[in-house]
Amino acid sequence: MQRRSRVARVAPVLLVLVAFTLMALDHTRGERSPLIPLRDLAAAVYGPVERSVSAVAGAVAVAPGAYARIDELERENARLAGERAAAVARQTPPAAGTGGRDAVAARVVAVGGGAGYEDTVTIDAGSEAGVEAETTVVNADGLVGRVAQAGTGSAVVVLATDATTSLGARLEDTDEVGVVTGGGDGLTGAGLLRLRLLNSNARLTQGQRVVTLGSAGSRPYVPGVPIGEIVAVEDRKPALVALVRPFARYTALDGVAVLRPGGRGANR
Amino acid sequence: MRRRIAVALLIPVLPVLQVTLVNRLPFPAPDLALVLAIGAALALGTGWGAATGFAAGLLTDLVPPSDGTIGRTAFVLCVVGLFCGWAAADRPLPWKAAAAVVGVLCALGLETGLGMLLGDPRMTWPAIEPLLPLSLLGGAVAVPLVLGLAYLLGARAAGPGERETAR
Repeated sequence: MQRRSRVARVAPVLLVLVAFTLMALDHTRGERSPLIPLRDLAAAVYGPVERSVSAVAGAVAVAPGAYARIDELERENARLAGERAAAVARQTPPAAGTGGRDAVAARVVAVGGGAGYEDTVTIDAGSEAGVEAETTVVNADGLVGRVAQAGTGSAVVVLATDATTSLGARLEDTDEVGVVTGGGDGLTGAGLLRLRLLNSNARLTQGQRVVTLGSAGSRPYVPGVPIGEIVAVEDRKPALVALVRPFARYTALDGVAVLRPGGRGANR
Repeated sequence: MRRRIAVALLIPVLPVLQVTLVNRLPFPAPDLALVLAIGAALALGTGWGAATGFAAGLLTDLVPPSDGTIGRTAFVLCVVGLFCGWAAADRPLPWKAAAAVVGVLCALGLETGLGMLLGDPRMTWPAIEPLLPLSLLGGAVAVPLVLGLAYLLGARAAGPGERETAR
């Protein structure tokens, strides 16, 4: 009896140490973390579960027949948006020929990763459908984000509003180039993005439209995708910072399209 | 026994309900894994609190769409479960309620502190500040849920605290 109670007293403290070790290991090893297989396993198990729960919740919210129709329309709409974005990306000179060729339609099945601090969503299409990591995600309104991890039947998308986001952007009218960062409140708050231009003398006014500049090789971001519209300009020394209201409504995301990278994606 | 099975069954289920349903509600959502960890700690004692916090936290770190450091939520909830089990053992209900409140605040503080320590851009002060009121509101919703859960699991029956868990 005495020994058992000692075990009961020590075990919780041991668990705390194990959790701390896991955290330190995953953090210090980063991309080569030995815990990544655990994440893949969780994606394989929970991806289909999230898809089912989401479908059941959707079918309960509307009539089951209507749900199937809505599902079809959401995907079709997203696919068209993806093809449009891919076409725009191809025509933009800096990334000619390397932009997306095709788009994979998907629906958002889960939102808000971690303990809710992450602006991330799960979509119900993965590598089986041709989704690859570090590719652009759009919807009918504009830029949604980028694929961070692609599981077999699901993928994790980091939204443009996430605090880790930092992407090249361009003002549609003046062609001035800058960097857009997220504020981390896309799922819970206003979800405004911040734009800093490289040229500190450039004009920044309310109502200017911001589009993606495009990453090297169009990964993760293809060029020319509408991001949002400037709603306010703040003077934060030494430079001006524009607050950008995204076109996509992050609190009501549904159908999205993942752009498939051309060329490299062709061999699959 | 039955309440332990109930906790064990809830561990793999709640993190999924959190991301598929609760996070989509149009108002501040409580963190179900946190509620479960504290509820288990209040009803079943320190050992169950820590173990439930560890397991539910690890799943929270792993279930898509999570993209942060694996083990962070596991560590936070494990510590909170351990603390609440210790603080609430053999105590009357008001004391347990206070332990739940402190536990929720501890989780918020630990999560933020660790994030800053690890250099997570999601956890810098400018990123956290606008979320704070919502998080606190979510926490305030969580406390009655914790106590309800602890009551359902039979907190009253768990009077002898530690001895109960060791049996």
